[in-house]
Amino acid sequence: MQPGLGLPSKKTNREHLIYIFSLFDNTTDGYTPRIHVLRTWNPTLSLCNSVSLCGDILVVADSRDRAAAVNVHSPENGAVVLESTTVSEHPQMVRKSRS
Amino acid sequence: MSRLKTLWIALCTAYVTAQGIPFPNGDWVNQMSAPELEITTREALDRDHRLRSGSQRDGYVPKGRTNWQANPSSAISEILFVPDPAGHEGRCIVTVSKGIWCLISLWDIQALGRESEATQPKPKTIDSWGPKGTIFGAIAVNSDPRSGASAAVAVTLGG
Repeated sequence: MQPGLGLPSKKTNREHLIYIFSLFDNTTDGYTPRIHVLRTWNPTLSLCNSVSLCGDILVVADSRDRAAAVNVHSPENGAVVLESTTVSEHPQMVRKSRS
Repeated sequence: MSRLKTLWIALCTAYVTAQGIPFPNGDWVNQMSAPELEITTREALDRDHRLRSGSQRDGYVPKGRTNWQANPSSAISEILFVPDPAGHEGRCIVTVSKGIWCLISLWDIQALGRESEATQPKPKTIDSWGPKGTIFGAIAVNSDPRSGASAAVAVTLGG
């Protein structure tokens, strides 16, 4: 078979994003449940296998032992990216990164 | 011997996590001391016993119980309770299904527990979200209901 005559090569262009939601609309009748995408954030990691959300701080981690933390209201201001399996024991590995 | 942390890790793995009994994740186990791990393991086993017992005396009696089909084509992989900003307890839950088409659904369970089991109303779906061609990773619901960001999900586009 000549090159290029088989199945077309499928170029994968995967993008890993974090979607941040609001689950309630604040209306005059009170809080109405509804799924609403507030914003997306690209933490420049692989697919995250851990997501934690506490107040305004979002922390994600991927399978390569990398983690990133960001303020959910201003993710464009940059994230703190941590690279270690035991982050708390290696604070010197913390670096700032613009995402 | 019961002071050995390795013993409690082995017991916890065999009798708690391997049985699917809810337990804090692996990182917590590493951080706990042997006595803390023993207490947490005993509490997890006791809670599981009470949930399964159904006894009025020493068991946990469910507030409400109903069966419904949350997704006809994919299994539900996660169920998360959503804290309500208005302070209502147990008003909504989120279900996540990770089939060919991943979907997040928001359910109203407010009416559960108000009727007898025979006339228990089904939860109502409020909204669903799942763009075509996406794969979901981890999901989290905000523990602080006052935050405008209620939930976050890791998504792969073009997967």
